[in-house]
Parts: sequence; structure tokens; C-alpha cells
Amino acid sequence: MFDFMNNPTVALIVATVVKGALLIVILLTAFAYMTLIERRVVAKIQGRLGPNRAGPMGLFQPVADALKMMFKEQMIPSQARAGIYVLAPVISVVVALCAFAVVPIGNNWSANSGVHSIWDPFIGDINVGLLWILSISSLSVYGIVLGGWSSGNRYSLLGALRSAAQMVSYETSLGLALSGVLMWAGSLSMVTIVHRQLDMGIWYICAQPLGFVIYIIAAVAEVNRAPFDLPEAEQELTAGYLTEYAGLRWSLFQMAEYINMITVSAVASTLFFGGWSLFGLTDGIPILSIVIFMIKVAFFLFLFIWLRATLPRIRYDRLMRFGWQVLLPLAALNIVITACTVALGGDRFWWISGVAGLLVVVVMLFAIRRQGILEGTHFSEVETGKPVLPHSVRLVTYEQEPELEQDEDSAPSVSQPPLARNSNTVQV
Amino acid sequence: MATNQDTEFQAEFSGTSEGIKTQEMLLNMGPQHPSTHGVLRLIITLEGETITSCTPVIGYLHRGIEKILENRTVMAGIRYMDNSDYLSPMLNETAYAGAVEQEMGIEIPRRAQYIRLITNELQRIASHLVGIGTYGMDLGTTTPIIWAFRDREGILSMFEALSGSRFNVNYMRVGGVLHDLPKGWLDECSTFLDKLEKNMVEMDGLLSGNEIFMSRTQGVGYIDPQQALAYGLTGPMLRASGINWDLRVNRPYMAYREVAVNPIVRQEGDCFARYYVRLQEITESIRLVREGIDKLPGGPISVRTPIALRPPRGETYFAIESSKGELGVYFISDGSEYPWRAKLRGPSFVNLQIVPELLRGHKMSDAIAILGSTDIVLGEVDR
Amino acid sequence: METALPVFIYVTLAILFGLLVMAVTGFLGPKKPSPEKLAPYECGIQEIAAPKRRFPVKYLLTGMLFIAFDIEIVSFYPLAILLHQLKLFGLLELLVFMAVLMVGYVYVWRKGAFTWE
Repeated sequence: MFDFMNNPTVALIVATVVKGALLIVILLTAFAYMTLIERRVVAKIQGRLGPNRAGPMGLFQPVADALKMMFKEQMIPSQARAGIYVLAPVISVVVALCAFAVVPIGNNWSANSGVHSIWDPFIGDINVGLLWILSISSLSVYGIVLGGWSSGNRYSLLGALRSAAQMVSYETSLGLALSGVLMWAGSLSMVTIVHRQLDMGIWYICAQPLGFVIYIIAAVAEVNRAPFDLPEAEQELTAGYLTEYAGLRWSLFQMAEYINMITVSAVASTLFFGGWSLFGLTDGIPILSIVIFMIKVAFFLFLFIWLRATLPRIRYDRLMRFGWQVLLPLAALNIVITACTVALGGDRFWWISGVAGLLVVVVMLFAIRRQGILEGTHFSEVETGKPVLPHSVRLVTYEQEPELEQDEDSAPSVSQPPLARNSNTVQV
Repeated sequence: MATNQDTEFQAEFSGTSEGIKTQEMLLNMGPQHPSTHGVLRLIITLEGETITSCTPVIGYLHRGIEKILENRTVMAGIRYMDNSDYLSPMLNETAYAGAVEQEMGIEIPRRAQYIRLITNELQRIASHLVGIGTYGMDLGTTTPIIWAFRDREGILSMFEALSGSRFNVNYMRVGGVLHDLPKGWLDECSTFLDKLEKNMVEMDGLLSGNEIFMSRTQGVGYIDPQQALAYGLTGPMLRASGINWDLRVNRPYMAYREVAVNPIVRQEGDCFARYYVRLQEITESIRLVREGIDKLPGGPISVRTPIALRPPRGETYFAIESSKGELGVYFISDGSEYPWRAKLRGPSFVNLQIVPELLRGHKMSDAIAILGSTDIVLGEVDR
Repeated sequence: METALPVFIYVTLAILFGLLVMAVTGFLGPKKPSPEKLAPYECGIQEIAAPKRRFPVKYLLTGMLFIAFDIEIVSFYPLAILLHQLKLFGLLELLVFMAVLMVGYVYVWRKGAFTWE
């Protein structure tokens, strides 16, 4: 029955189609439940309940949402460029899905890096894996910009412009921050990077703390999440590029955003936290590696939610300045530190770049804080209750004495007759 | 009315935007917009992200409250004051009742004065909570508003116990208040205040110490003291600019003659100062409520007033320190049961005037920060 | 090719999924357009002036900067990967590369490309 599987190419195609379909389903499910979890977690933080009506603990809420979204009326605004308007959300979500192709979700089924099978838990181990993710995530700006531009609404346009500038600015820092990892790993393949971490016996977070910090900040900005969620800044731009979208098209954009979030979390855990590995726990049981990987990704996703519940939105010009003037030089510094360690020391001296990077992080934390103080964020305590009027103003303070102009006929008695408690004011 | 206005603006703005600066972009904020705090409409001209001009359009919430007051007896009119500044009905009612009392020359019983003080300060807390919470919302964080509404809920429940209504309380009466405090209300109030105090420390930690919050509010929307006076600002807006002017202190009324208020003054004059004044005023109000509870005397809660309340012929102006600033009622009576005229001096309306001046030259995202920091209520602006 | 084929298949699947959703949006849901409904959202007010579909030139500058830096990053990656083998020579080359990059960066900074006032 399965004779065609003997042909390696056909088998590969069949396996990939199955795995790919499975991955897409998993990502969509993850997106759906991510929205639920986000709402529940934010609700917990804010002292609310969150959606808990649909099914036990609100588990069917995503289903209800999806059904509602599907049967919403889809319209094309009169000012929109219809073709691009319809295509933009699709571009967004396709690009978001594609980026995940090279991420290893778990160990080889043989638990041996040398023995590969077509059913290994990743789509393709291409040797430019990281470059693939970077280039694909650069494309994700297209969906947003085209969507905003084609809507024919100025909120959308402004949101799209902001989004383009923001994503583009943080893309550079993101790329530079990752090159530190590349120096240690010596490969762009995600699978190899994980195995290199196993060989070295450390997670790259130890050798690359600065790179990790830069990456995670840039990644939050890259996926347009709080506190960098300016493109959809509700308060300034109603909903940014999403303003004119409704129903399934709107949820495609949301889907893209959440899948991007999952992707950057997956990349962070792969590059800096050893991917699916956990102190050799996965050697015997490959299926455990998938669980471990999911837990690591879930941690980063929780971080995203946590940030959203806590932080206000950063201002646009500061966002751009931060990206270009702080993150970019820091990423360059990280490269120099790492390059020196790698070229002169080698694998055994990973702690040098680790300590140096950590030092830079700490110094920067103080520096940013201090710069804030210099710029005037310091808030001096002012003595209260002291009159501080300008000299030109003179205020008259007086004890209020209501002047009575009593007319004979209508003035009520000022004297207070004894009243029982709880009596109404008007005599009945 | 609206269409007429629109064509006017259309003519005016198409002229400028087609002219010299091709990059200018016209942005219409409101009336249905998440961050204009009601139905305010701002027509903003942008160059890139910088605001070059701003025109506020008001009147979308006009209900003719002043006219309604003229057509109601004085007692019946009190209820309509609730809808003016719908975030602080107790204060509105106090202003109106106080104006009539001043016109009639009534000195209300001390117990009523203290009940008014307690309810007014609670209302001030509730209003400031909304102000702070929505301000956090304006700056893109969703948690403060939920926390603020959680605390405000306690105050509204207490008002419900007091007057039977959470929102449109209809509690003040000319000559006193409607009901005496229910049994156990004061204990409940004290427990609530203890909890609120803890929650405010939490809120302070969440917002005030936040780097992003500080960077977005400090040094933004600076109003210097002269400007603040020239625009007639009052309340936290004025005190944040370093001018120590609080009607509870400078022109004390009712129980404030016996209870000392420490006005909260800050020198910075920026958005953060305005926010922080509100936050500290909550603490101050908590103290005042406690003091009011301690000093609460016995005795009647109201003077006896005739059924047909006829304020004497004449006019008077009575102002209280509302949560937003000086809330004044200019009351003219022709001797009948109906006020001949009741003019409200709504602090929100006066405070809104400075917004176009403040916005010019700022970033679009600062516009939200500045508008939020004025803490206007459109119910009071449009009346 | 053997390693890239799965990725291409996956991309095709993703595109198919996108097209499927696009098709689904075409026939699900009611269709009752009206001029008011199709009018762009303008905060509940009829529109003042049609938006211009032009970008301020500032964004172009950011775009150009991005292209410059991103290409440099891409050309930098091979060097980073081979640094293990190149040792000191690679390090020197990398430092020279970074120096050149930083010269350009400082130039752009001094020209005021990063000020967003």
C-alpha cells in the first residue's frame, strides 16, 4: 500500500506535506489558544476573570471567536485599492507561517544528530536557516504597509508608515545581535546551532547575554507588541493599519502577529536557550524534547503578555532613537566582544564574552537610568502647601460670609428647629 | 448643524493642505475616538508626526442642562446636576445646593456639612481614579484603568448604600442631605479607605516609577504659571503649575472651614505633575475622609425648608473645589420656585481652552498624553 | 536541493492556506454594502479631505538606512560563521569591517538622520 514511500523523493514530499500541514494546524491552534491565554493572564493580572463562559475555563472561546469572525460581513471600503486590500492580510499570514519552516521543534527521532529521518520534527534543515527567518520576517512588513496604504484611510496610512519605519529600524539591531550567536555556532542552520550548544555544554545565553537582551528587545519591536505596539496604537490612530479591516481579514492580521510572536519566541529559545535540549534529559526520549521546547516558547510568550499588561507605550521618536542610537551600537559592541573571544580564545573561553556582555548590560541599565535623570526625568519632591504665586498676581483670601439679602415675603427661617434624625428635608 | 460646520472646515482646510506644504496631513480625532474622553472632536493638522494646529469642536454632548435647570424647581434641578460632570455627581450637587443655600442664607447643620465633606472627598477620589486610570489607558497600558475601576467600584457601592443609586446619586438637598448615613456605613468606609491606601501605593509603583511613563509625561505639555492663570485654569491643572490655589483652602466652604486641607502643589507644570497632583490628592482625600469621620458630629442632617422652595430675589455665585477645578454656580432667582438662571462654571470647559495652545508643536503621541492629562469630562464641557 | 525542497513545499502549503482563507472570506458572511458602510472610518464624521497616498520623505531615509545596514549585515554573516577558522586574520578583518561600518554610522548620526523631532 505504501510502496510509493520507497522512492526517497516521493517519500520526502509526502512526509513534508504531512508535517507542513500539521505544523500549520499547530501554529493556528497555538494562535487561537494564545489569544485565550493572553486574555486570561492579563485578566488575572488586572484582577478580573477574563473569558470563562464558553466551555470549561473558557476553552471554547477561540472557537466561538473564529466562528464569529468567519461569518462577519466582509466589505471593501470605497476608497480602498481592492486587490491589494484583499491580498495584504494574506501576505501577512503566509509570511508569518513561512518563517517557522526552519525552526527545529524537537530532537531527531533517533536522538542522534548523525541519523536523520524524513519525519524529524522540523520542516527543512536548510543551511541558511537563520538567514531565512530574517529575510522572511523582513517581508512581513509588506503585509502591514500594503494593508495600511490600500485602505484609503489616514489612520491606516499613518499606522502603516510607523510600522514600516519601526520594523525596519529594529531589523538591523536584530540581525547584528544574532551574529554573535553565529560566531559561536559557526553555522546558520538552526539544527546545527542547537547541536553546537550541546557540544559546548552551555546555552548561548551564558556566552551572549548582551546579544540576548538586544535580541529580545528588538524582537518585541519587530512583532509590534507592547510597549512597542505603535502601529496599532489605539489611542492615537484608532487601530492603525487595522482600522478598515474586519472579520476574517482582520483576524488574519492578528494571526500573523501572534504567529510572529511564536516564531521569535522559538528563535530565542533555539539560539539562546538550547532549543529542545535540557541538560541531556532528552537523550533517551525524543518526544520529551518537543515538550521542553514548547515550555521554553511558552515562557517567552508569557513574557510578551506580561509586558503588555505592565508597560505603557513608548513614544514614537524615542522608539526610533532607541533602535538606532542605543541598540545598534550595542549590537556592534557585542559583535566586537564576541569576535575577540571567539577568534583569540575559542570555545573554552565563552565566559569572557559572557561576563563582558553582562557588564555592558548592567552599565547600560545604569546609563539609561542616569541619562533619564539628566534629561529631567528626576522628580524632585516639592514642599507642598506653600503659596507660590507670581508677583503680578495677588489673590484675596477671605473668610466666606454669605451676605443675606432677605426679602420679607420669601425668606425662610434661618434658625434651625430641632429635627428628628433621618427626617426628610421637605415637610410632608 | 454638524454638516454646516463640516463644510466650513472642509473649505478652510482644503485650502491650506493644497497650498505650500504638501506633506501636511489632516487628522480628525473624534467625536468617536478611543482617546478623546467622550465625544470631543479635535481637528489636527499634522506635518509628519508634528502637530501644526489643532481645533477642538465641542457640543456633541450638549443636553441643555442649564436650560433644564431653569425649568425645574430648585429641588428637582439637583438631580440634573448629576449629569453635568458625570464622574463627580456629588460635587455637582453640592455646588448647586450650596448656591441655593447661599442665596437663601441657610447655614446647614454641622452633621450635614461633614456628610457633604465625606461624600465630596470620596467622589473626588472616584473622579481622580478615573482620571488616572484613563490616563494610563491613553499612554497605552491597560492595567491601571482596571485597577482604578476596581477601587472606584467600592466608592460607588458606598454611594448606593447611601442614596440608593450608584451613579446619579441625587443625594444633596437644599439645607442638608437626603438621608443620614446608614448603620455600619462608616465602618465600611474606613475598611475601604485602608484597602484603597494600599492600592494607591501599588498604583504609584505601577505608573509613577515607570521609565516609559515618566519619559512620556515629564517635560511634556508644560504650562507656566502665568499662562495657567491667563487661561483661567483651576484645580489640579493649576496646582501642577505651581500655583497654590484651592478653594477648599482659599475660600473655605461648609466643613472645610473646620478641616484643614493641605493643597497639593507641584512646580513642574508638565503632564507628570498633573498626574501626580491627582494621585497625591487621592491620598489627601483619604486623610480628609478619615478626619471627617472622626469629627462627624451628631444632630440633624438637614434644616427644615418649605415644600415650595422660593429662593429670594437676587443673584449669587457659589463655587466649590471640584475634582477638576473650580465648579461654580451662578444662581439668579426672581423669587419664584424656578431659578431664573443657573449658570455653571464648569472647570473642564475652562481647562479645555488651553489644549490647542498646548498641542501645537508636539508629537501626535504627545497629543494624547496632553489631552489625557487635562482630565476633562465632556459632560461638563458641553453641559 | 534535497534540504531546500521541504521548505518550498511548506511555503506552497502556507500560500495555499492563505488563498483558501481568501476564498472563504469571499462567500462566507452577509453582503449588504451601503455607501455609509463603505465610507472610510473617520471617527463618526464625514471625511474632510481624501488622504494622500504619499509618504513623507523622512521614511524614505529610514528605508535607505535600513537597506545599507541590512546589506552590511548580510555580507557580515559569512565572516561571522567562519571566524572559528580564520582566527586572528578574521578578527582583524572583522574589526576593519566594523570600523568602516561605524564611520558610516557616525556620519549618518552627525547628519541628523536619527533625530525624529
